Amino acid sequence: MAPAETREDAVRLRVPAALEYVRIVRLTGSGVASRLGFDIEEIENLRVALDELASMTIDVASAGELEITFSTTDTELRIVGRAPIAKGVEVGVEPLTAQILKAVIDDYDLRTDDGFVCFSCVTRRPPI
Amino acid sequence: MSLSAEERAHSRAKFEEYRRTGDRKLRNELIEAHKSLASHLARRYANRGEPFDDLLQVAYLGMLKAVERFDPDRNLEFSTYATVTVEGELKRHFRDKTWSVRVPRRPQELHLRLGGVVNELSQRLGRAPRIPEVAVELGVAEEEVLEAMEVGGAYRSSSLDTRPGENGEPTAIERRLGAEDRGFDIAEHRVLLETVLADLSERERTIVELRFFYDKTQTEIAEEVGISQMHVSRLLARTLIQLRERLETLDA
Repeated sequence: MAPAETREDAVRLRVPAALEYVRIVRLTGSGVASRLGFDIEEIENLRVALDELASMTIDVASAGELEITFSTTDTELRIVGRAPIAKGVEVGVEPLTAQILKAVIDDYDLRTDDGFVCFSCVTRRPPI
Repeated sequence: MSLSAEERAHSRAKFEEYRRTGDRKLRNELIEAHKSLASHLARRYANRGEPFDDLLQVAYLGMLKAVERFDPDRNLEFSTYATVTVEGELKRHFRDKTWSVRVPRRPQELHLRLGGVVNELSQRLGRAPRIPEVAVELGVAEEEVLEAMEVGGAYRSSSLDTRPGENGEPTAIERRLGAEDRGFDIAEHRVLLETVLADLSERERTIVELRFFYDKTQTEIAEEVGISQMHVSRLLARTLIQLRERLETLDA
């Protein structure tokens, strides 16, 4: 949680849980990151991370909506997403994806929670 | 739209007056008088996935431009001139706005310029530029820069754009979507990963390893390998797609 003195803004996005919409997720994420002053390379990293996480989530989601919240403070961008999970699927991060995510984002998580597949990731940056 | 000689003369007189005075009231009258032509043209473009109201707006905007630019001395019927102008506006609207269907032209054009500008700025600033800096340099809005970046690096979802294989063969992504068994054996996957990495060219492998195994930034890799950062970015995007396709094929 953000310390009391920092302001926390949130942008919420709901898209159909379909791969065609990953583009919108990336675009929104990069827009929010740009507002925080991320440089073009950091934004590219974030886009890769969002691409991986959103696609993985959608892969195991049943038809439904993917809900994503982008929250920002002065020092970090936190993204959480969730979608209803399909029956009988396993949720896991492939080794290649894990390597990629480790390289592009400070912290991430993918898990199931009460009928939902949920992801979260954080990119921290020094205060501007 | 055929007009009587009298109407034609009347219309011509109005256009001449408008050109002389630039009177906005007169201009609006002229636009009003040709609204039905605008909506007629807009209707031709209806049912292509864009709301009719939007098309109508675009057509009116085209009509406004036509009225402003029309030169009565050129001995051309206004309706002819307006038709061309309004249709041009409608076509441009479809080109620019219907980007859920295909990548719009403008971001594509911008993307081509993006690489050079990012390199130049990186050198000048001594660091990777921020979006507002890139936007100023390109003379466009920040959103346009972000969209131009989208054109360049659609990683995984790009394979959705590929047409289905011949004989109705599912594409890699369709196979993936249709897969029932999501279970996988990590050890087996690691072996697969090594196999597919070995298939890459030496430069591609180096870049992937530096980026994802040694955690170097694109700029650092660019320096190390001796190519531009944008080039690294493009190579990485392409290589990742290749890797994934190979993994999916081997995994199937």
